[in-house]
Amino acid sequence: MDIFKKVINSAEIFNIQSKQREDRLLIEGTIPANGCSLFKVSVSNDGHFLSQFLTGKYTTLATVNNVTVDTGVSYLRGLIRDQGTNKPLFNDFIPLDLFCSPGRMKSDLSTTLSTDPAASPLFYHYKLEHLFTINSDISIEVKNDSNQANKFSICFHGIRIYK
Amino acid sequence: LKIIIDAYSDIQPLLIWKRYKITNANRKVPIPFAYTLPFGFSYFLETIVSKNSEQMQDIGRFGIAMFDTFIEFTRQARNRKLQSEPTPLSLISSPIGIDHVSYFPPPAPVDQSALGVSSKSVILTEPIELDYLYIYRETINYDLSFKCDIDLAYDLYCDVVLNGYLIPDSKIAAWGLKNGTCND
Repeated sequence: MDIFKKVINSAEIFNIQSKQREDRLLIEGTIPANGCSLFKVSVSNDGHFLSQFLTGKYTTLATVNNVTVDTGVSYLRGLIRDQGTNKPLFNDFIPLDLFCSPGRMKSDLSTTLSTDPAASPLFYHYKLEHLFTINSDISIEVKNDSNQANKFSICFHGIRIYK
Repeated sequence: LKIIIDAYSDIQPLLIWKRYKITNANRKVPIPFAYTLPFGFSYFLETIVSKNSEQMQDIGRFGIAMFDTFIEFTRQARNRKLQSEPTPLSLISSPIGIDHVSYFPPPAPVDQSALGVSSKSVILTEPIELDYLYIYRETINYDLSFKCDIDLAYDLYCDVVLNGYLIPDSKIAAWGLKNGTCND
C-alpha cells in the first residue's frame, strides 16, 4: 500500500521510459554429444543493455544401454563472455545447474518421458549485473559431458538504454 | 529507476567456480582456495552458491572459513578471519546438499577441472548476501574446512561458486575509498 503514499510524477516517468525500457535477450542451442559449442546473441544497435538477472534451463539426457534417458545429471558447463570487452565473466566452465534456474527441463527425446519427473518451477533468478555495450555480442561456450546431445536456453533480463 | 551508465563502467561480474573432492583421508583438513585477481582489481563478493554430496549420516561440520588477507601497497600482509568458526556452507549458500548416490563417478563424464564427476542438477534458491569487498589485494583467500566425525564410506564432492564483481582501482578511488582502509 506504500505506493499510495507517494506522489507519482508521470512526466518524469515518461521521460525516463523514453530513454530506457525493460528488455530480454535469449541464447539457446543444442550441444552435440561430448561436444563444445559457441552461441551468441547480439546486443544490437538498439542501445546498451544492462543485464540484471539471468534464468536458464537445460536438458539432462544420456544414452544408457543404447536407450536415451533423462538421468537428471547436470552435463552442461558454460562460460559466458562479454564480446564487447572480450572478457570472460566466469573463471571456468561452470555447471549450468549452479547458475541456471529453473534448471533441468523435460525432453521429448527421452524414452522415459511419461515417468520423468516434471521440470522445476522458476525459483531463483540469478543476479548477473553487467552493462553490455551497443553493437556488442554476449557469447556462451557450452561443453556437454554427456554421450547424448543436450540443449539449453538462457535468458538475460535487463534494461535497454538508448544512446 | 534511471540508469547511470558511468556507474557500471569498468565493473564486471565474475563468477569463480571450484569443485573439491573430500576423501576419508582429508575429511578434517582445510582445503585452501586462492584465486588470483587481475592486477589492479579488487573483488566484491556478493553471494556464494554451493552444493555438496552427502552420505546418509550427518557428516558433521562441512563448512567454510573465510580469511581476509590484505596485501596493501606497503606490502604488509595480515590475516583476519571472517568467522569465529568455519560456517557450514548450508547456512550461507544455496542450494546445499544432495544425496551421494546422485553423483556419477568416473568414467561417466570427463573433465579434469571438474574432477571427472558430474552430479544431479539442483534447484537454485536464494543465497544469503554477504556483500564483502576484498580490497587492494592480489588473491582471494579462504579455506574450505571439511570436518567430519565419522569415517566416509565414499568420496564426497563440493561445488563452490563465488558470485561477485571485479572492481578496478580507478573506481575504488572514485568512490573515495583509501588504500587498505576499507572494511577496517
